[in-house]
Amino acid sequence: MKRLSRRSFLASSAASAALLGLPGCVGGGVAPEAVTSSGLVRVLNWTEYLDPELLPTIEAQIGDTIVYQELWEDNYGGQDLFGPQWDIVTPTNWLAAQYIQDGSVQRLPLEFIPNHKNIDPVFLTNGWDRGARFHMPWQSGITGIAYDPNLTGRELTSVSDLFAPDLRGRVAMIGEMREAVGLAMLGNGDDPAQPTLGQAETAYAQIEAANNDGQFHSWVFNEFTDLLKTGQVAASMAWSGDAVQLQLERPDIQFVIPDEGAIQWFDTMVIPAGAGNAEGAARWMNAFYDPAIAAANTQWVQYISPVLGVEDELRALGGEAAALANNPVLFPDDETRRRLFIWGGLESTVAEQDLDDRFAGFLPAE
Amino acid sequence: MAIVTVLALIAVGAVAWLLTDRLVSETEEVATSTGEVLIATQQVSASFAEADAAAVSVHLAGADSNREQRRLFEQATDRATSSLERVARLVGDDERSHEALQDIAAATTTYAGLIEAARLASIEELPGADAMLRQASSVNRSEISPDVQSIADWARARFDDQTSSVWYAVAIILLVIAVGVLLGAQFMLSRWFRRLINVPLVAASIVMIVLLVLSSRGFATQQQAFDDAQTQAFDAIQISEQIQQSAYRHRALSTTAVLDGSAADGLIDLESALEGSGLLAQARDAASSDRERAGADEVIARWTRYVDENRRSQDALGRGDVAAAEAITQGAANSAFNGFNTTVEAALLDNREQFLNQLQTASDSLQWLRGLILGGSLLAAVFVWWGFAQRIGEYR
Repeated sequence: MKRLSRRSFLASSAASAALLGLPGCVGGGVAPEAVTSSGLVRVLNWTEYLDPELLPTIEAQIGDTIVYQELWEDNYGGQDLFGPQWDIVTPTNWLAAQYIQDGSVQRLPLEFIPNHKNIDPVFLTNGWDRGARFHMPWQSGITGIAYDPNLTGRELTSVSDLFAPDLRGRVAMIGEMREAVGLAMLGNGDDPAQPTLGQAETAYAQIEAANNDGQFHSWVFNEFTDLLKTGQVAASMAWSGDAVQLQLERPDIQFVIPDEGAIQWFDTMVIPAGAGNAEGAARWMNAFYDPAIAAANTQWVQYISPVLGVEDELRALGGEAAALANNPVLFPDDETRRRLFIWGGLESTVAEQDLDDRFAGFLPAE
Repeated sequence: MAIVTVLALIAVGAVAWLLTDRLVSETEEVATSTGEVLIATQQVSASFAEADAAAVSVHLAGADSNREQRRLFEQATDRATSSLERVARLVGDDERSHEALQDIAAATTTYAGLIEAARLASIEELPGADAMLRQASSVNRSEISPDVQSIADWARARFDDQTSSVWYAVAIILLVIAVGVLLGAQFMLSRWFRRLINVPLVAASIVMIVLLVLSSRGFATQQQAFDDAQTQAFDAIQISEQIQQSAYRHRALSTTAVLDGSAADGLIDLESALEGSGLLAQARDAASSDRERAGADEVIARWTRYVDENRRSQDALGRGDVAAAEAITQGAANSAFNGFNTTVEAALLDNREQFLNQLQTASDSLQWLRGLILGGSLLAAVFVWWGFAQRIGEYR
C-alpha cells in the first residue's frame, strides 16, 4: 500500500567500496539464558530497503545464515505477517510503539549491540521507548511537500499551500493518517509530537472538508512521483527519499519542508516476542549500526540514516557519496531538524484507531 | 510429658508463623512502598533537573522556536509531577514526608510560574527573562531538591530498618529448640520403654529438621535478595542519579555561560567528577551483567560525545563568537546531551526493574514459608501425640 520502493537510482558501486575495512561487530560477554539463538536470522523488511550486495558481508560478519524477505508492503497488511517466525521486523514508528505497548516485542539484548551508542539521539526521546531499549531505527524519512514550479507558478512554502484555492484539484495527498493529519496539525500551529485528540480531530476535519471540496486530485502512496513527473498534479505531499530519486530525473521538481515544519517518520527494527534467534537479530542490528555499512546502505536507499557517523563516512568516500552527504534532505541541518516532528501518538489508542478507520475512507478501494 | 511436648510444638509453630508473617509484611512493605518511594524520589530529582536544562535551551533558541526542547521540558515536568503523586500515595501516614510534599508542591508552582513568565517575556522580547530563568533554577536547587532529598533520606532509613530485621533469627532459634525437644523426648522414651526407635517421634523430628532447613534457606534467600537489591541495583540507581545531577549542572553552567556570553567556570570539576575513575566508571563497576555493562558503556560514549560538542561551544565563546556558541549549544551539543540523558534514564529504568525484581524475590521466598512452618509444626505435634500414645498403650 505504501513506500513500495525505497531504493536509490544510484549504482551501488560506491557502496561496495564502503564495505572495505568493516570493523568487527560482535559484542563481548556471555548471552543471558533468556536470549535465544538458532544460527538462522529471519528478517522481514519493506520492499527494496536494503542493498542486496550487503547481505553476504553481513552474513559473514554475524556468523548466522540470513533469510531476508521483503514482504512488508504496508503497516496494515504487514501486521498479519508479524510474529515469532521472524527474528527482525521493521514496522513504522507508530506501529512499533503499539507493539511495545502490548508486549509483542522483546527487550533488545544490548550486550550484543555495542553499536547501540550510534543511534541518532533524535530517535531516543520518543515517550514510548525512551533510550530505545526495544527498537533500533532502520531508515527515516520526511513527509513534506514536492511541487513542480512550472505548474504552480509560485513557490510553495507552507502547509496551507496544500489547501490553497489556486491549486484546487491539482494536489496529491499521501494516504498515511499520521502524516496527513500531522502536517495539517503543523499548519494549525499544533505539535504532532504530542497530539491531543481535539487537535487531531480539527486537522482531520480540515482535510475532510478539503477532500469533499475537490481540493485533492488523489490519495496515493509513492505513486505521487509519477503524478508529479507526468504533470498530473502540481503539488503533493511527498516522502523525502522518493522525492530525492525523482529529482535525479526531474531536477526542477522541488521538495520543501514547510515553514511550519514537517513530519519525520522512521521504520524501526524490533524483535518479536518469542523469536528463535534474538542473539542473531541483535548481531544484525549491530552490523547495520556500523557507520560504514550504514553509509553503504544509505547510498542505495537514499533515506535518512539513523546512524551517527554516516555523513562523515560518505564524505570520506568522495564523489557521488560525498554529494549525498551534502544533500539537506538526507542530512538536515540543526535549524531544519528543529522543524521535524515525529508523530507522538494519541493518548487513547482506541481514538487513534477510530481516526485511522475514518481516514481510510479517503483512500481508493483496492 | 506428651502434652508438654505437643503444646511446645504448637507454640513454636504459632510463634514462628507470627514472626514469619511479620517478616513477610515487612518485605512486602519494602517491595511495594519503601523501595518504590526511593525510586520515585530519584525520578523527581532527575525530572526537575532535566526540565531545568530544557527550559534554558528553549530560552536560548528564542521563545518557542525550539519546540523539541519545549516538549522535553513539558514531558519532564509531567514526569516529575506524576512521580510526586506516586510518592504521596506510597509514603502512607508519614507526616514528615507529607509536609515536605506540600512544600514541594508550592515550590513547583512557583518554579513553573517563573519558567512560563520567562517564556512569555522571551516571546514579547521583554527584559528580565534571563533573571527569571535563573530564579527558577534557584527554586529548583534550593527549595525543591532539598525536600525531595529529605523524603529520599527518610525512605532510605526505613529501607535500612526494614531490611535489617532479625526476626528470622528468632524463628530459627525456636525451630532449633523444637528439634532439641523432640530429640530429648525420643531419648527419654527410649530410656523409659527400652525401645531404640519410636517411629512417629522420628517422623516428627524429621519434619521439624526439614522445616529448619527450608526456613534457613528461605530466610537466607530473602536476606541475599535484600542484599543484592541494596548493593547492586539501588547503589547503581544512586550512582546514575548522581551522574544525572552532575551532568545537568554541567549543562546548566554551559547554557548559562552562553546566555552571559562568557566561558563557563566549573565545567572541568564536574567533568573530573564523572570521568576517569569517577561516577561513570563506578556505574560500570556496579553493573552486575553484560547487558548492564553494555548500557554503562553507552552512557560513557554518549557523555564523551556531549563533552566534545560542548567544548566546541565553549571554545567559540572563548573566541568571542557568541553566535557560533549558541548554534552549537542549541544544535549538536543539545542533541548529544539528549542522547546522553535518555541513555542514563534508560539505564535507571533497567536498574529500577532489577531493584524491584530483587525485592519481589525476597518477598516470594517467604510467602510459602509461613504456611509451611505452621502446618509442619502441627503435623509434628500430631506425630508426637501418636508416638506417645503408642508407648502408653504398650505400657498398659
